[in-house]
Amino acid sequence: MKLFKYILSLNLLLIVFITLPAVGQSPDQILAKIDSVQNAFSDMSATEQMKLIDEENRVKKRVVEIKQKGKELRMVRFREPADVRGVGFLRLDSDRLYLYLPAFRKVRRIASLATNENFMGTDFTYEDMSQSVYADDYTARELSTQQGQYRLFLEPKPSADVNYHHLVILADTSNYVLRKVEFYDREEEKIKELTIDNIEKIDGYWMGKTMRMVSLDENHKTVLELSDIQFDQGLSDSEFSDRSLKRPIR
Amino acid sequence: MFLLMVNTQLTNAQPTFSGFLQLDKRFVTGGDSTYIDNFYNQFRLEMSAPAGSRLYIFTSMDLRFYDFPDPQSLSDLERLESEFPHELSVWEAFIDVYGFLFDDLDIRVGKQRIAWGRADKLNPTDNLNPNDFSDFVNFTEMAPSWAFKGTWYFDDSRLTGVWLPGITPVLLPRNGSTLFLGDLGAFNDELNLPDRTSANSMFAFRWDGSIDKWDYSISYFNGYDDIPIATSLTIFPPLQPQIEMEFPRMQVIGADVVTELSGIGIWGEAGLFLPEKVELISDVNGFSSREIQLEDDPYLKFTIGGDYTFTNGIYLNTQWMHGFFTDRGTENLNDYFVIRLEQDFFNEDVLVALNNTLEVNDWEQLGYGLSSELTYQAIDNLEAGLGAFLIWGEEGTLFNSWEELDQVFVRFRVDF
Repeated sequence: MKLFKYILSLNLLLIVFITLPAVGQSPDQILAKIDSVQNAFSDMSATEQMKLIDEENRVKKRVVEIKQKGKELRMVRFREPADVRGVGFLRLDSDRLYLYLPAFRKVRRIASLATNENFMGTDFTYEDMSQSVYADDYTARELSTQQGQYRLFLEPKPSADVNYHHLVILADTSNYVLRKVEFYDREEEKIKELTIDNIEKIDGYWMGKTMRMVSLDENHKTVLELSDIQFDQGLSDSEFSDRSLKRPIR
Repeated sequence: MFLLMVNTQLTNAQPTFSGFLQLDKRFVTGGDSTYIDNFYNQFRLEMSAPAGSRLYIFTSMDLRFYDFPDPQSLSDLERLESEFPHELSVWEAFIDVYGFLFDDLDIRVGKQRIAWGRADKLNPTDNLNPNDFSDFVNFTEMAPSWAFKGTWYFDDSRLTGVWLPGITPVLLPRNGSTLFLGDLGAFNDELNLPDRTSANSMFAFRWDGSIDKWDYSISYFNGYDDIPIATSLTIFPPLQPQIEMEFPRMQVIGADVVTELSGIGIWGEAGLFLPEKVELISDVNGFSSREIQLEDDPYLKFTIGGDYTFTNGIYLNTQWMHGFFTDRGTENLNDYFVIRLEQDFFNEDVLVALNNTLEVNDWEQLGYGLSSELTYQAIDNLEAGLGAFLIWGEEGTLFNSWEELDQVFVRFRVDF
C-alpha cells in the first residue's frame, strides 16, 4: 500500500512538472530564457514595413532596414518615405546613440534622455527600439501562467536608465517567445501595448514577424511586418559604424 | 584592375531619382509697408546610382525660380528669363569609392558638402564649404564645393584628408549683400578671386574618434575665408567710387567634443583662426593711405551648447556662439545666445519650434531675433509650414541692419 501511494505521488509530481513548466523556475529564470530566445542569433537583418495608423485610420507608411548584432549593436535605416530616405539610427551601446540626417550630411549624437521620444513618428521610442535584453534593466517580480503564456511583472533595477515605471510581459510557455509587452508610465498608467504575432521558426530561431504597438492615450498604432529576415550572416562590428551609417541606402 | 572594376560596376548602375519641390512665400512686414518678397521657390532633382558594392554616384540639380518678373524695358518682355526669372545649378555631383586601394579607405570626389563640427549648426570648424546665406532666414546653411576627400577608417576613429582646388565664395541673398557684408554705399565693387594655381588651393585634415563616452575631433584647415574683405578703395570724382575686395587666406586649428551627462547632450567646438594680414589701400583724390583691415593675430571662435528632452516631450537646445560667421579679428567677435524649443504633437504630424537669439555686441549693444515655425505633415512627403522671423537690434548690432526684414512666411514642400 505504501508502495502504491509512493508511485501515485511520483506520477502526480511528474504530471505537475510536465503540465506546468513554470514550477521550479523563478521569474528571473523565465525572463532569462525569454531574453535568450530573443537574442539567440548572433546577428540578424531584416526589412520592416511600418504602418502608422492614427485614430481616424489614416495610414502613413515607412520602410526601414534593420540590422542587429549581439546585445548592443543596432542599426535602423529608412528607405521610405522620400522625405526621410537615408535617415539612420545607430546604437553602439546604451550611452552611444547616433542619428544620421542625410540632408545635412552629418551624424549627430543623441542624448540618452531623448530615448523617451518616439522614433520618426512611430509608436516605438528610441528606448523601445534599443531594448533587447530585459534582464539587463529589469527584475522580474511576479509570475503567473494563463492560457499557455507566462505573465511577468518587470520592475526597473535601481541603476537602470529607463523611462517606464514597469512593464508586464507575456511569453509562450512552450518556447519562451515574447508575445506581448505592456508599458506603464511613472503614474503607473498603461500607456502602450505591444503584441507580437505571426510567430515562425526561421533558420532554427523563433521570430514574431508582425508587431503591433498601440499608444493607448493617443489611439495611435504602429504595425511592423518583418520580411527578408536573415540570421547569422557574420556581420562584422564595422557594419555598425559611422562609416556604414553614412553610406547611401541601396 | 581598378579601372576594370569601375567599368564593370558602372554598367550595373541602377539610377534612382528623388528630390523635392518647395514653394515659399515671404511677407516682409518690418519696414514702412508690407510687401511680398521675391523669394525663390526651389526644385531639387537628385539622381543616385549605386554601382555594385563599392561605387556610388550622386548628382543633384537645383532650380530656383521666382514669382515676380523683373522687366526693365519692352525688350525684356521678349525674353523668357526676364518673364520667368530662374537660376539653375549643379548643387552636388560626386562619386564615392568604398575601399579605394585599401579596404579601410573611402574617397568622395566632386562637388560635395563636408560638414565638420559637433555643435548644432553653429560650427567654427566648418570652413571647407562656403556659407549659404541665400535664404536669409536660414543663415546657418552651407553650400557644397568641389573637393577631393579621403577618409581612412580605424576601429573607432577616422582620419579625413580634404583637398579643394579653389575657393567657392559665400552665397548671398538676392539684392541682400549688405545684410552680411555691410553697406558699401554708392561704390562700384570688384571681387578678386585668388589665381587658379595649386599654391592657392586649400586643404584640411581631421582626426575624430571616441574615448569612453566622449566623441571628439581635432582638425586643421589651410585655405581662404569665403567672405570677402575690402582691400582697395578709390575715390576720384567725377568717377564712380571703386572698392576692391579679396578673400583672406587663413588657417584654422579646430577641436570639438560631445558627450552625454545624465541625459543632457553637451558639446563644445572651437576654431583658432590664424589669418594673414589684410591691408586696405585708400586713394582719395590722389592721396593714398593704408590701414590694417585684418591683423594677422590669432582669434578664437567657439560654440558651447547642450540639449535636453523633458519627459513631457519638449526639446530644449541652447548654445553660446562667440563669433558670428562674418566676424573676423579678436576685437570684432560678438556673442550670440540661442535657445531653441521644440514640441511635436499628434505623433509628429505637427511640430512647433521657437528660436530665440540674443546678440550681445561688445557686451554693450543688444539685438534679439525670434523665429517661430509651425510645420504640419498632413500626409507622407508633404509638409506645410507657417512661421515668422522678427528682429530687433540696437545701433551697431548685426540684427539692427536686419530690422526692416521682419517677415511672415508660408511654405509647402513635397519630397519624392
